[in-house]
Amino acid sequence: MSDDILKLEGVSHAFGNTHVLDNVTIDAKPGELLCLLGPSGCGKTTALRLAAGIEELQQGRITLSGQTVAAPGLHVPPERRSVGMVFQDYALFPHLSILRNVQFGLSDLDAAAKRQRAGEVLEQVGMSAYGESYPHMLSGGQQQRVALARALAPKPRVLLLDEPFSGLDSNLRAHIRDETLHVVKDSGTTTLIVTHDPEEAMYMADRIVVMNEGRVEQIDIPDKLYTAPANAFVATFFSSINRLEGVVRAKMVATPFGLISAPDLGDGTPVEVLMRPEALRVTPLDGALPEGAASAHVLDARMLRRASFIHLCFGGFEGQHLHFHSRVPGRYMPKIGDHVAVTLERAQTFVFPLRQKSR
Amino acid sequence: MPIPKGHRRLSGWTAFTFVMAALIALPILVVLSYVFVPSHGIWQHLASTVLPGYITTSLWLMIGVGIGATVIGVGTAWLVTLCEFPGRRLFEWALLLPMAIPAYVIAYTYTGLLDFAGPLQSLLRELTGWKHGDYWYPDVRSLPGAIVMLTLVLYPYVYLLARAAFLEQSVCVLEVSRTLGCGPWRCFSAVAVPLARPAIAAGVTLVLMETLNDFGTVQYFGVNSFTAGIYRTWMGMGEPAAAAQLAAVLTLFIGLLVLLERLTRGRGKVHHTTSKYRQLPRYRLNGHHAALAVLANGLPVLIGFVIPAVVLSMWAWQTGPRIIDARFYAEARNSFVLASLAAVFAVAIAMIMAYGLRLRRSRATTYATRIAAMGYGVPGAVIAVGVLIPLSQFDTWINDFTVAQWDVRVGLVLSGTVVAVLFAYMVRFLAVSFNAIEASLGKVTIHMDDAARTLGHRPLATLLQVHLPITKGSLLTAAILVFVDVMKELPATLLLRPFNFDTLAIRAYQLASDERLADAAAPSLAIVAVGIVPVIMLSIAIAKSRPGSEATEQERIAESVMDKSVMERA
Repeated sequence: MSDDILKLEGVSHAFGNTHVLDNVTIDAKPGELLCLLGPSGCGKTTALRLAAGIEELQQGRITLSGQTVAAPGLHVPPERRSVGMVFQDYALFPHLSILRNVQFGLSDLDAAAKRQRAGEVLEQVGMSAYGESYPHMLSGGQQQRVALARALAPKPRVLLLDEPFSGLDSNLRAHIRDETLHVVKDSGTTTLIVTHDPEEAMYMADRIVVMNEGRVEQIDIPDKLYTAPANAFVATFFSSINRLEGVVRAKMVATPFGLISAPDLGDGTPVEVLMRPEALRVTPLDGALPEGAASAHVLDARMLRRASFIHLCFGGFEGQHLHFHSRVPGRYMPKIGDHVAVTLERAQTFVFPLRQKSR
Repeated sequence: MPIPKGHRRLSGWTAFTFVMAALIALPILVVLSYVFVPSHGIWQHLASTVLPGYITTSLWLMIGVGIGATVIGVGTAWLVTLCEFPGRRLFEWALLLPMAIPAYVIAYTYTGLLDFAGPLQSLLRELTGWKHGDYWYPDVRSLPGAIVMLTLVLYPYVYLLARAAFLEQSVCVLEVSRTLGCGPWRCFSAVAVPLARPAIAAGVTLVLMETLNDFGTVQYFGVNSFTAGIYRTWMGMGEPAAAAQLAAVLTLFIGLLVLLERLTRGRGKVHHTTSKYRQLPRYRLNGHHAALAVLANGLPVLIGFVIPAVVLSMWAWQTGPRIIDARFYAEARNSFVLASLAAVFAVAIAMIMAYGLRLRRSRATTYATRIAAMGYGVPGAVIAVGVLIPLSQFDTWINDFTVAQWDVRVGLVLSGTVVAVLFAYMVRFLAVSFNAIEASLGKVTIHMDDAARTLGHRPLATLLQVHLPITKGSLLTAAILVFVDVMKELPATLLLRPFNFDTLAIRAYQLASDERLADAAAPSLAIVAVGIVPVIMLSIAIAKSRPGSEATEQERIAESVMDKSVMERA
């Protein structure tokens, strides 16, 4: 028996003829904060609902603390799974006060114990002052906190959050996200968060499960996902990226920046080379082109908040014009039409065999 | 905490939904099955003698009432929404009042008022010295009379839906047509009415269905329409099978009507190009135009409600001391108990079915609930036939069984008891509560269900602690609608009630049949008094929520629930 708190094994799911999950395996370790990340329609919410027991499992197996709660022919209903869930729209009960909302999942306790536990979690989320208010009197951020408190109150085995910050405006979102991270971590509850926002996933997660079209693309810590993506989808999902198609010759792929090694790929394999914008180092070109650099001219330069974003044109690489982007930290604003030298940081460059259906 | 094992099974909620749908569909299926049952020449006899008469009479009734209700309903709706004249706001809700009066009550009232012995003719004779036969006087108790009576109480359906449609019409469309030189008349006939056509068609369909459902008026007036024929064939001739066959023909007739309405709706979809709803700029009417408008709106209210209500009150005042006795109270109690039971059952069953549909929405459960809501289009007399045939068959089986087993005859267990009456009410009125409840369950998001479940509450606990408290206002509305419909119901009660079990509606019917019209006023007035409750609720909703004016969310919901439950009768 593993020490996993929540485990989905070989889970497949379809709505009618639409396959939303295809042989998905996910596991969450005690106290871990796991993010399910993917574009909309990738099946991440379905995976969450299956874990909660709101959706009935069709294929595979789901275990909580080593006990099977869902398998074909077996369905433990959500009320007997001890999972806490926070919904996108918070789903607070409009007819109950905040205190009553938080007490809703505490049926087993006596009145005094209920009040005490509800008080504790409301304190944790900083909403103690609102016990007698009703949901419609609260702002979106406050409702989100109450929803979190309500889910945590019964001390669930697993906490499930479905796009918990998407209803908040962007200024508030960062703040609530940070608060939620600390409340969840302090509670020590194993947590699964569904999100479509890579930045949010990287901010919150101990590990991220990247999903696409019903399949798990990669499970890893945020750092690894960014620096060592398993495939083109994962590499592209975390930032916009410069892309170049090529063919492997003698374990190498030709780029304007010279040859890039592709040690595991056979000769003649069609590949795509992916280069993050920050991997393109731009320096003014005076005199000769340095070793390993490519020359380009500036199409445009824009100041973003913490970096400059430069549009570059590489003329005449294997007969084609390439339009790449470079992200340079701080302020660097070359003039339009300037000729520059561009070098490539190999650590942030990835080569993958060309998939039939990438992008 | 160990996790208990669970197994997938047909949930009790889904099973209940299927069983209820089957039960509710049973009477209608029984009736329809009689299309194929040979009945030893009775059918041929009916077909060659009375059937053509029933069909022509019913058709004339439908044509007459359809035209009458459309003219009054659309005309008054146009006047109150798009014209400004003294008393407009009063008429806006007062035009609904005739809805409170069952058709048979208004028929008794006008017969008493206008018949030979009535006050009007007596006065006429006194003034002129004429005697019986000396003068021509239109007979109230005739086909045209029935058309007028039904039109007076049914036009509010058209009014309600046409008014809503006119209000929804974008002000831009109407302003554009005015800048293009349309006067009020062309605006009305070339823009507003064509745009409102689907709503008007729905309203007219409702009116026609209620016309076919009517039993009390046609029976009392001796107008040989279908429902009267079913009653006569069954009670007078003792031929339940032939009655069932007539009922089957009538049901097919109604099916055709609904289909026609659907077809007209499907062909010309009306889209509003903008959704800018402002207080419509009204045509201000002055002088004799305003007087005409007041007259056009005032007459339906006066004839359809004020006069009957006043006359009934006067009669009830005179005859009340004699009529309101222990028996009257017993009948009132019966009515109240029946209506309350029916309301409670209808709301409970509808709630369980609507909740079951939420728990597991599949094609099968959706169809099951649609079937269960089908009975509203079917006349009470038809449902009575459909209820009695299977129930008496069931009683025969039980008695055969007990006689064979213990040599005991248990008698009527289901048929001829309150069970049969309540069953018929469920078949007919479940749709009313179901539509209101399903609409109100929209206030509870699916995520709230999910939240309650993940917080450790089973489906039943979730229903009791989340859905019931949130929707309780609408549940009450649904219960009131069913309660009132049952209070007014006549044919099914008349055909199915236990021996010597009378309600206020039955008493009014019996007293009227004995030509004791003034005596019938007290029970009639009681029914009208109850019937006015939902009309008042509707009026308040209408008065408070209109585009361009502030309305609370709750009132908007109240109106949408009421409108939907009225609309869904189609």
